[in-house]
Amino acid sequence: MTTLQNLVVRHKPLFDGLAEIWLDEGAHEFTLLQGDQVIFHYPGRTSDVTADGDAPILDIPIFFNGRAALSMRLIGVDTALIQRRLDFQTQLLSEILSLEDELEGMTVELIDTQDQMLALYKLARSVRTQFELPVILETIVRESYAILKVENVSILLRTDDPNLIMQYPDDKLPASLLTDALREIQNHGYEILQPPKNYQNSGIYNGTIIPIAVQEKIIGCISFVNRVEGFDSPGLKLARALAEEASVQIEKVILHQRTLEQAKLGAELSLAANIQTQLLPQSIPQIDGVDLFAMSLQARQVGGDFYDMMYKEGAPLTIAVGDVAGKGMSAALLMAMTRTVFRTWTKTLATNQAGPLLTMVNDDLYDDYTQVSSFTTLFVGRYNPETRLLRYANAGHSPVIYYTKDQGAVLMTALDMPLGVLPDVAFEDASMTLNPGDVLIVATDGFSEAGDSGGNFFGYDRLLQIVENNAHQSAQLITRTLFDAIHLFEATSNQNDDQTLLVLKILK
Amino acid sequence: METSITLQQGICIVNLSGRFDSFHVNTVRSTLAETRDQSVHVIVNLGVVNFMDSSAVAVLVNEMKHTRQHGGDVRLCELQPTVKVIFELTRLDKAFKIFTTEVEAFESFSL
Repeated sequence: MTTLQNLVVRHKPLFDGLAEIWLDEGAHEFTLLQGDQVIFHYPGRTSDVTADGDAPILDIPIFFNGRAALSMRLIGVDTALIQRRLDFQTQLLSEILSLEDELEGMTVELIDTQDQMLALYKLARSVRTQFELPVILETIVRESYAILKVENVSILLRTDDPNLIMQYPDDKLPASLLTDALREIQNHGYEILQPPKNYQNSGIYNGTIIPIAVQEKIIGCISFVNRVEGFDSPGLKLARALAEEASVQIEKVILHQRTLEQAKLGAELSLAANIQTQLLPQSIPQIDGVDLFAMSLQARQVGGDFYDMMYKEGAPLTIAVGDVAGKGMSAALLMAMTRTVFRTWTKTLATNQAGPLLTMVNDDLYDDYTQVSSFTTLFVGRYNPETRLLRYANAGHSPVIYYTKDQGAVLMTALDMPLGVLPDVAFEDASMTLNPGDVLIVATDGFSEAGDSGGNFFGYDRLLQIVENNAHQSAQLITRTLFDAIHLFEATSNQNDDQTLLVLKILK
Repeated sequence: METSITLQQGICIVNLSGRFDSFHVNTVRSTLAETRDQSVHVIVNLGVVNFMDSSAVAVLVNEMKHTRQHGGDVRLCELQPTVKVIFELTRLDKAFKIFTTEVEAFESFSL
C-alpha cells in the first residue's frame, strides 16, 4: 500500500462524512478513485437511482505533492454551485493530506534521530573505558554493523605500525579497496559515496567510505557496504554520525597513548638528569690556601656543560670546565663520555701537564664527535698549591677570566681549537704562577651569551667588570654574584643555554 | 635566516645572512647539503651574519670535515668583528681558513 493510500484509509471517516452529505444532497453515487482504482464507493439510497444511466457525472481531482493523485466522482448532481463546492472541498482535502504527510515524515525522522542517538550513546558507552586501539576498532565495527544494518563495516587506520584493518562480521572486503579509498580521500579530502567501479564485481552493490580524522588530519577511513535500505539521506547521516563517533573514540585513544609515551619519556629524562647531576663533583676539595667553588645550571633537563675537580694529596688539583656544542640528550651523552674519558686519562697519564690530557681525549673521542656533528670546548687547569704553579690547556673554551690586583680582570684566549674539530692535534700546555689574591674564573658561553628580551648579550665587558668589583669576595660569593647578575639580565627572557662557572681563588 | 648558493668555476659560494644560531642550524645544514651535489670546494660568506652560537659553529665544522674528507674544504670570508671574535676566542681560526674578502677566499682554492 502506498503512502497516499495509507493516509486516505486512515482518514476514512472524513470521506464517510463527505459522502453522507452529498448523498443527502441527492447524489446517486459518491466514489473516491486513484486513477481507475476505486478506493471508497458509497452507493445511493435507492436502487432506481443507481440504475439511472443518463445521470450526470462529475470528476474532480485531488492534488497531492503537485499532481492529481486522486479524484472524487459524483453521479447524479451537476450544477455550477455544486461544482464550486466540490472544488473547494477537494482543495481542502489536498491541503489536509499534504499536511498529514509532512507531519508523518517529520515523525519518522524524529524517531530515526532518536534511534540514532540511542545507538551512538550505546556505542560511546561501550568504548568509554577502553584504551586499546584494536578493542576500540572492533567495538566500533561491530556496533556500526548492528546500527546501520549493512553487510560489512571496515576500518582502516594508518599508524606507525603497518596499517590497522578491522572488519565485521567477516574479512570479505578486499584490503586494497580500503587502501585505495584512503589514498583518494587523502588526495581529495572528502568521503566516497559510491563503491569504486573496479570493485563492483566483488559483490558490492552500494556503500560509502568516510574519512576518520584525528586532530583534523585524515588518518584512516571507515567503510559501510551493502545496505538493503540504501544510503539515502537518513542512512548517510547515520553513517556519518558513526564515522564521527569513531573519529572521536580513536582520537581519544591516540591522544591517551601519546600522553602515556610523553610521561614515560619525561620519567626517563628525569632519570638522565639525575644521573647527570651525579656526574658533577658532589663535594669541593678542601685545600689549604685555595678557595674553590663551582656551579652549573642546565637550560633543559639535561645539558652539555660540565665541570670537574679532582685532588689527591701530593698531586696537583685538576679543574676542568667543558661545553658540548648542541643541547639536549645527544649533548648530555657526549658530555658524560667526555667526562669519563677525561677522568680516566687524568688518573692514568703520568704527567702533571694539562695539554696531553686534551690530546688524549681528542684522540679517543674525535670519531664520536664527528659521528654526531658536535665538538666540545674544554679548559683544564692543574694547580700545585705548593709552588702556586698553574699548568693549563684550553681547547677553544671561552670565557676564561684571570684577575690580578695589578692588571684587573682580563680575558684569556684559548690556546687551541675545541676537541673533535680536527684529528691528531697536539694540544698546547701553558703555565703561569698565581699569586695570593689572584682569581681564575672559567665560565661557559651561557654567561657571555646570556641575552635579555631586547636581544642584547651580557657580553664580556660586563663579566670583567663584575669580576673586578667582586674579586675580593670568596669564590662562592663571586659565583653567586655572577649568577645573580645574569639572571637579572635574563629576567624577561628564557635561559637559552647551559650556564656553568668555576672559580679558583688563591688565598696564600 | 636567508641562504643562497652560487656556483662559480667549480666553487660553491654560500651566502648566509642574519642571526645564525640553534634555531637556524637546520636551514643552513640543508643549504650546505645542497652544495655536496655541486662541489667539495665551498666558500661561506658570513658578511651579513651578526651572531653565531656553538651549534652554528658545529654545522660549519661538520661541513668542513666532510669536504676535507673528499679532498675539498670549507673556507670562510668577510667575518664581522662580532663573529670573528668567536673564531678567535675558540681558536677555530686555527682549524678554518678565513679570508677578509670573498675574492681572496676564491683565489685561495687556485683550481
